Amino acid sequence: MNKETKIVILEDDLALARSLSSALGREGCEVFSAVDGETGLRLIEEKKPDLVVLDIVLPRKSGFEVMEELASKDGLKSIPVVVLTNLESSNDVNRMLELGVKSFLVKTNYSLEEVVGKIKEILEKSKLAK
Amino acid sequence: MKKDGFWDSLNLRKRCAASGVGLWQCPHFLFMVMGAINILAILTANAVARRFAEPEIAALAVLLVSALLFIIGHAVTRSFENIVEASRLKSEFVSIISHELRSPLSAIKWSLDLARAEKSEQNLPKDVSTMLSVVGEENEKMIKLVNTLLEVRRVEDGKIELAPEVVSLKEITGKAIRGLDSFARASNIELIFRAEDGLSPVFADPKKIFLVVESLVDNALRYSPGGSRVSVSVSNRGDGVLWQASDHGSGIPKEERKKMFGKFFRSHNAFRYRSGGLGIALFLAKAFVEASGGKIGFDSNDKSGSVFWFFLPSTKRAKINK
Repeated sequence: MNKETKIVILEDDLALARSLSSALGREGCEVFSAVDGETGLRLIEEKKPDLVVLDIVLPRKSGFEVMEELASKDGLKSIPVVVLTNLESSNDVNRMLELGVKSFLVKTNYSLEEVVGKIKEILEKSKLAK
Repeated sequence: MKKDGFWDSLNLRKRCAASGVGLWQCPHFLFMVMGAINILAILTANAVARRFAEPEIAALAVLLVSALLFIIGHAVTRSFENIVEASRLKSEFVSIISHELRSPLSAIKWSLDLARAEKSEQNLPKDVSTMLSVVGEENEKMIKLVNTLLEVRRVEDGKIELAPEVVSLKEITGKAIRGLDSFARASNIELIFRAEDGLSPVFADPKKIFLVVESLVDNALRYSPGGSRVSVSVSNRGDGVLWQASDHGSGIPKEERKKMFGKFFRSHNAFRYRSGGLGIALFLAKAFVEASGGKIGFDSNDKSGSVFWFFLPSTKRAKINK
């Protein structure tokens, strides 16, 4: 990954956001983060990132709402989204996959390294598709 | 046995205390009161009607009594509702707490990952990095506990999620036993595993079955005295595979046998041994095995230890209840 890879993280837990940002930073990505859905959406529109990491339970706008808005906007529809959450009922997973989410990860079940690995994998695939 | 059960059911104070509500909210007690009033009502109505020979008064008395019965009946229903509601709130509370706990637990996990990543670990003194490993292991234990609690909720709601595939019980058991080997050695228990050649594959969710195997072996180890032996075996039996773990522990007391697979049940013997765990491993094991179309059970003698077993149909016959 080079410096031009931009990632936006929407996560209200600061400690989680911080550790993920620095892990992705070490991989050479430029990381921006927001703690609520509304600011997050604005950040995505402004930065046009290569990938979005999204939590479901977020203040102001939930992950579902963010996903719906992304899907309705032409320029943002194609940005791959990785959902990172602690909900894991099949309802939540299916709803997110229907909305076009690339990968659904349950936080506690993945190490930071594995999460970064998944993100890299998805970035590579989306670059090939371009 | 039967006689005991009957007299036990009459011991209202005990039963009402067990359900955690006051005497006047306790359905069993209210039912008894209703029954008594009912009998009394009929007798009184009869006596009154005879003495006054005025059917209006007798009818009024009966009417009043039935109104009273109606009110009590209402109270019974309400108290039932309260109990159901309390139980629902309780499991919802467990679920919310578990989800809430997951955030800080993952934050700890990831921060540790970051601190222990190659680049930063070189800068850490050796003892600090050992301590970080301990923190990481303990954190994983907490994550496991929280996941188990969430799993219990899913089982209670009838929402077990299975991802079945063709798997070998030999492989799954081997993996679980390797993980428990150090625990067995630390407890000075000989852990033996035998698998029949040409074992049939089964169709089941490997992660769930791994948990079943792990908890059955873990239990066998926990309830075994030091210096004894726990033997685990898998073999073809009929049209499926039989998994067994036998220990030489103190066995399961007769009165506890019925409750073994209940939720949050822990044997009284547990306190004499290396206790631990929430008492939900067997509850989950039963749910997982049965959802995979199998059976689970145990044979126990008070003195000579117990054999816990489960049976899974081989792939040809396997039917999964989704």
